[in-house]
Amino acid sequence: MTEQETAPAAISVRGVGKTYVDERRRRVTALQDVDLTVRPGEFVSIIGPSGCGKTTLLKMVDGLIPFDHGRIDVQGTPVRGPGPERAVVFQSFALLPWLTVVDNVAFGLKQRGVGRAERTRTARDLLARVGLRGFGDHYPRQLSGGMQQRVGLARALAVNPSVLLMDEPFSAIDAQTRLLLQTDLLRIWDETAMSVLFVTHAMDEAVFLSDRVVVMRPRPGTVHEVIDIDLPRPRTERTRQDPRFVELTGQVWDRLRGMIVADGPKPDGPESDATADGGPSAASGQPAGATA
Amino acid sequence: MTGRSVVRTVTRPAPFLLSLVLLAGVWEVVGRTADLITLPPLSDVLRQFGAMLASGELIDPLADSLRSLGIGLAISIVAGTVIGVAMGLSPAVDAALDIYVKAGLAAPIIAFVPLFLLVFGIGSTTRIATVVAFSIWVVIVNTATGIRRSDPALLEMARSFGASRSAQLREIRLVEASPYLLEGLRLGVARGVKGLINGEVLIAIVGLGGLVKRYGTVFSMDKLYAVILFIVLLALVSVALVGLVGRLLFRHRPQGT
Ligand SMILES: Nc1ncnc2c1ncn2[C@@H]1O[C@H](COP(=O)(O)OP(=O)(O)OP(=O)(O)O)[C@@H](O)[C@H]1O
Ligand SMILES: [Mg+2]
Repeated sequence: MTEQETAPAAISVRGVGKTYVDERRRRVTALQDVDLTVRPGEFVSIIGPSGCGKTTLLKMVDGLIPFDHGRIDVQGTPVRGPGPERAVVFQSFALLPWLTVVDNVAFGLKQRGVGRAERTRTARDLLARVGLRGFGDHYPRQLSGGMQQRVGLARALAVNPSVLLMDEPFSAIDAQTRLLLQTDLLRIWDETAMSVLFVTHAMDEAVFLSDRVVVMRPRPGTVHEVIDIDLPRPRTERTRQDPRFVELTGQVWDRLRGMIVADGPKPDGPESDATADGGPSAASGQPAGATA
Repeated sequence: MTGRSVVRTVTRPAPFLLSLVLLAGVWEVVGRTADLITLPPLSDVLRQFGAMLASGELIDPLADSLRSLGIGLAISIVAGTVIGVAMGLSPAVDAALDIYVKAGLAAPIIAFVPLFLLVFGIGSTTRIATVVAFSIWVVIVNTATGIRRSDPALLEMARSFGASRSAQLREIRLVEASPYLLEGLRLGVARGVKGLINGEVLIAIVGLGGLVKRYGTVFSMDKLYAVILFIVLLALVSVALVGLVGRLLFRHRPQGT
């Protein structure tokens, strides 16, 4: 236990903020004062309403976009760009359509200068591990969405990352396949020492997979609450019937519902002045005119 | 006409053959009955065509023309691709060069040939310059467009997995742009052939275009038509070759996206 305290966090986000300037030169504060820790080997999910900055945060941890304030460390080292100890599974799969499945899986290894024979061998091993044995010579578009994301997962695992970042990886996949992917992901995670940061919109998915669920709120995007998921592992299909699972999913929904209801009637966008002089003042003006 | 449509025309022969036979028939009949000096019957032209091929008098001008075409196209493809990539990657380079490329596309390049002739003389340099001036713009524009169309999600993925900028260019951008590159090549070759013959006709003593000029001035109409026929065939064959190269390159990929 003392060892775990002294080992650096897998991911440490401290006081991070990010303001985008869009094409019309308006400033959008995507994230403000975000704190987040993922311990070594931990599985943490981020959930929150659309636009609260989940993707932005994940990409900053990967080093794909710079941040304005605060600091992000991965295994004790400040993030300055993408690094070999991190790998991402993308929502849109981001597979190269002109490469075979094996070559897609080997993409990261190729960038690291691993020779053809070796990277092909590693790629085929990983395909077997994600349940795609025999599909190596197919092209991505010959596979279903679920299978394509298995390729995306294999590509990330191929570089043997200690931190796996996943941005809504299963959101484009049908509900049944999704459940299978969740259990397979947990099995693979169990076999490795990886820490996972997993962005999702699905509450049951977050609860089923995670050690902790980070609930974010929008405008500006920040951490609202962290919920510990004390369900026993290994988690199986049984877990989904566990009353505690249902209870925790309900808890996550409670937190989110508040935000979505509060957010409901507002038009989408960072500007709040529009709403201020739009609805209420016009409505209050009318009865006055009617009485006069 | 693009390489693919040439190939398609030849592989779907029935309507094509019909139109060919009709055209040939009309030509032959009009040529025989009207007895115009400007339109000899097709059979005379074809006989002349055969004779010229057999005598080998087309060989030297052809080799001469092809050499200039080859060098000119090579310059256009290499320089055009490099400039196109730079414009596609860098908004600054694009802003600096875009206007010249647009002008090059729209301008009647033939007007520059007398200038080239003054600067480079009647040697092959003038013809090479003409081929380049005709063909480079489409190569640049297509390359730049293709490079700009790269999918940001794929580039981001590549960056995340540690791909260097040059690896991103080679392994993502150029591959994604390859249909555009190929189209630029096709159009470039077609325009290059056009430029070559135009230039030769103006220069008037060299290559196939020189033959056109020579036979035209002395009114050997059947020889003139035979050379023109030969040039048209040359243009079609060059463009079809590009199409073939493209199909070989993409052969192993499944179609559609
Ligand atoms: N490149 C950009 N330029 C300007 N604004 C941006 C940019 N990227 C994101 N934003 C804004 O930043 C905010 C956070 O976006 P982000 O994509 O991180 O949210 P998200 O939580 O991932 O949303 P979703 O659940 O829809 O995926 C949004 O308001 C978005 O409009
Ligand atoms: Mg997102």
